[in-house]
Amino acid sequence: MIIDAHAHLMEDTNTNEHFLRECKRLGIDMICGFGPPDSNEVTRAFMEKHPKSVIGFCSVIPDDEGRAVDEFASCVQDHGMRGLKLLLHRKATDPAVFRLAEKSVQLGVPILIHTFMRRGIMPERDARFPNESDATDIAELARNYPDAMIIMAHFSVGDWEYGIKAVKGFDNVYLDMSGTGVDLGSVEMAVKQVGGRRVVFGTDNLILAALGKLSGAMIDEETRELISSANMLRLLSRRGRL
Amino acid sequence: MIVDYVASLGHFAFRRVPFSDPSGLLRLMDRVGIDKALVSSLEAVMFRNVQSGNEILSENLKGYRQRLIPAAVVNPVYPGSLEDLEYCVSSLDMKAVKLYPTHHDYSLADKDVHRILEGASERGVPVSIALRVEDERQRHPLTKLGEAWSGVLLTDHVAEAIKNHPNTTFALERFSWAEFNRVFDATQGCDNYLVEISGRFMHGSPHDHVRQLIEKIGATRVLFGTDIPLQYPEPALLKIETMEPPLAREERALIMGGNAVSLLHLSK
Repeated sequence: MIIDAHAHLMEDTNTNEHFLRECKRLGIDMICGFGPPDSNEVTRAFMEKHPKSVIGFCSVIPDDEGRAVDEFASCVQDHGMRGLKLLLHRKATDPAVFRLAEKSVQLGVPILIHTFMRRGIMPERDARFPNESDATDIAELARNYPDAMIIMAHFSVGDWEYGIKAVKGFDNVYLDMSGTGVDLGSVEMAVKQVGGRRVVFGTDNLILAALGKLSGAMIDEETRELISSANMLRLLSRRGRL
Repeated sequence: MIVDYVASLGHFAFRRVPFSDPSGLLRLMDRVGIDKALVSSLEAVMFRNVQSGNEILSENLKGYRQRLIPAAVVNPVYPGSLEDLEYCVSSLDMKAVKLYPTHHDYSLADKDVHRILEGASERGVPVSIALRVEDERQRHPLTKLGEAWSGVLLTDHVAEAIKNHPNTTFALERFSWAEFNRVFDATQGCDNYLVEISGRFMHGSPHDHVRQLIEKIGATRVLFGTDIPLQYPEPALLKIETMEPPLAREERALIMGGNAVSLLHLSK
C-alpha cells in the first residue's frame, strides 16, 4: 500500500481526477489532498467523491485573528479532514503558526509545512518568499510543540543534507520525500539519520520522481513499507481509524 | 540496447556521490538494465583546467570502454581549449563534447565558443550543453552562477548557437520543460539538436512531458538520460516505462538507445 502525504488539489476538477487516476494506475492507493489556501471546499468535494482514496488536509493562511484556527477545527471536526497544510504565508516560527500547531495537537492530526532548505544562498528567493520556512524554522516549531506531528515537506529539495540534520534531533518531525529532488542517496541519508519511522512517501504531484526514489533507495523492505504507508497511517490514526 | 546519455564519474566537489567509480557505476547500471552510458568527469565541472578532469576520466576508464563511453568537458574560454578538444577526440577517443556555460561562467555567444562548436563539428562529435549540474536551489554558497546564468538569456543563447551552427549537432542536457520550450520556439526549422530527459523539471506522469517532447521534435531527437550517479536512475526510467499508451516499439528503441548509438557512432 502506498499513501501520498503531499498532493495538491487544483480548482479544476478535471486536473484532480486525472491526477488521482494516474496515482491509481501507478500504484498509489490513497492521497492526502489539499486545495489552494482557504479553498477547502475543493478538498471537501473531492473527499466526498473519492472517500476511499482521498484523505483531506485543511489548507489555511495563518492569521492573527483566529479565523485560520477556526477553519482548521471546522475542517477536521465537521468535515473529517485529517491534517493541515501550510504554505509560505507565515514562517513556522510565527505566533499564528504556533496557534495552529497547538490546535493540531488538540485535534490529533499532523501538519504538513512547505519547507525550503534556503541557507541564504538565494537572495532573490528570499525576497520573493520572505516568510518561507527553512528546516531550522521547522525545528523551532517542533521544539515548542513536542506533541505536534510536523511533516517537513519535500526534504530532498534544496540542501537536503542540511535539512535532514537540522531536524534530526526532533522526533516529532517527519520528512516528506516529495518534490523535484531526486538526488541519489537522499532517502538513504534521511533513513540513516532520522530513522525509517520518520520518513513518509509524498509526491507533491510529481508521481514518478517519488516512485523512483521509493523504489531506487537502498533501504530494507521493512523500511520501504514504513515509508510507503505505515508511517502515515500511524500519524493519521491518532484521531481514530481512517 | 539501453544507452544512458547523461552519466558522470569522479569526485563531486559538494557532496558525497555513491557509485562514482567505474565499477560502481556499472553496478548501478546493471541494477536497472542500462547497457552503456556516455560519461563525463565530475571533477572537470569545478577544476580550473578542465582537461585534467578529462585525463583522469580517460585513465579510470581503462578496461571499461566497452560500456562506459567518455565525453570531453571543454571550457571554451580557457587557453588551449581547442587543442584539448582535439586531443580528447583524436588521442583519447572521446565521443562527445560537453559544455557547462553556467559553471565555467561564459556566454554561449562568445567567439571562443564559436571555435569549439565548429571544431566539434569538424571532428564529427556532438556537443552537449548542460544547463546545470545540480539544482540551483542546492548550490554550495561558494558557487556563483555567474553573469551567464539567467534562464531566459541562457536559453536565448542556446537557440542562437543552434541556429548559427547548423553543422553542429547539439544535445540539450538537464533542461527543464520550460527551458526546452523557449529553445524550441526560437529554433523553428532547426533539427540539429536532440533533447535528453533526465532533467528534474522534465516530468513524466501526470505531466507527460516526454510524449509532448516526441510530438514536438520527433522520437529521432529524444535521448534517454538518467544523470547517474548524481540522481536515482529510476525516475527517468519510469518516464518511459509508465507511458500510457506505451511508446511504439520503434520509438522506444530510438529513444532508449538507437539515437545515442547513431550520434556517438557506437557499435550495437
